[in-house]
Amino acid sequence: MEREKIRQTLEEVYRELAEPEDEEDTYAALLANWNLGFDYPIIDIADTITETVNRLAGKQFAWYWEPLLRDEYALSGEFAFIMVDPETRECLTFNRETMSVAVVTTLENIEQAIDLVSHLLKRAGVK
Amino acid sequence: MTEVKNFDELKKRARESFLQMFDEIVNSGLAEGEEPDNPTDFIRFAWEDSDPCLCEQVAEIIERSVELTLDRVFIWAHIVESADAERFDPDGWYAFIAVDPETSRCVTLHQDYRGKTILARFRILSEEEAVEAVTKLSQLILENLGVRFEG
Repeated sequence: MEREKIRQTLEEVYRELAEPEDEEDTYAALLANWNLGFDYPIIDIADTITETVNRLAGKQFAWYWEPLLRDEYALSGEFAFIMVDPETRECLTFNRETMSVAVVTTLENIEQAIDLVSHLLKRAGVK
Repeated sequence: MTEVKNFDELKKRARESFLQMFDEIVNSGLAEGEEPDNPTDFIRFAWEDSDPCLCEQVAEIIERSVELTLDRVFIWAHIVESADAERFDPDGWYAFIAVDPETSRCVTLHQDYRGKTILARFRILSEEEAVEAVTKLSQLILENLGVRFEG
């Protein structure tokens, strides 16, 4: 999947989900401000990723995600995603080598978000 | 994996597994002369005291009990749910995700009112609710593995 296509879809999905009033309030801008603490809209960040993957794959996956904490009071900038194909029940984020069910990644800028979507699409068999 | 004939047998096995795992995980570390913990008191204390370590232990006991009940190992993720997003304030709800490492299949996948979900959620504030969680989680996993049994 082309990076530009992923970038466009991320921005489209973010506009639909978060309905920002300001034109300059883009997904890329949101990610760049990840260190806002608990005022940071983590739901918009994560839901934009999952819906972008669903849309580009043309399929509704079953998800669980959570932000990781640096300590009790601060986000680390990392998120964990678990993705399951509801038809086959396959956990697409399961890693047999590490025996982990989640993909954990840093989401502090738009390029990292594109990398993550690209990685999840590959796991789903989308080229 | 051991066979289960019906729901009653599954529940009986779930109770035995839970009590065994509770003893192994909680009571095995007691110093000499210390009274063994009562499961309901332990679960309630973890909740009322908002102790993340004890809540993690409750979740681990549930997971190990399911594995013992079904005689099969899974890869787990669990969530100790919190009533407050900004500080740890457990509300008694626990959610579990299990994956069968042999097939990579999520064995907690099911339909709820929102659609397909991978989270199996249980409120666990007593021994009875813990046994119920182990039973229902085991039943859900069996269904996902294609195993059917009576009632």
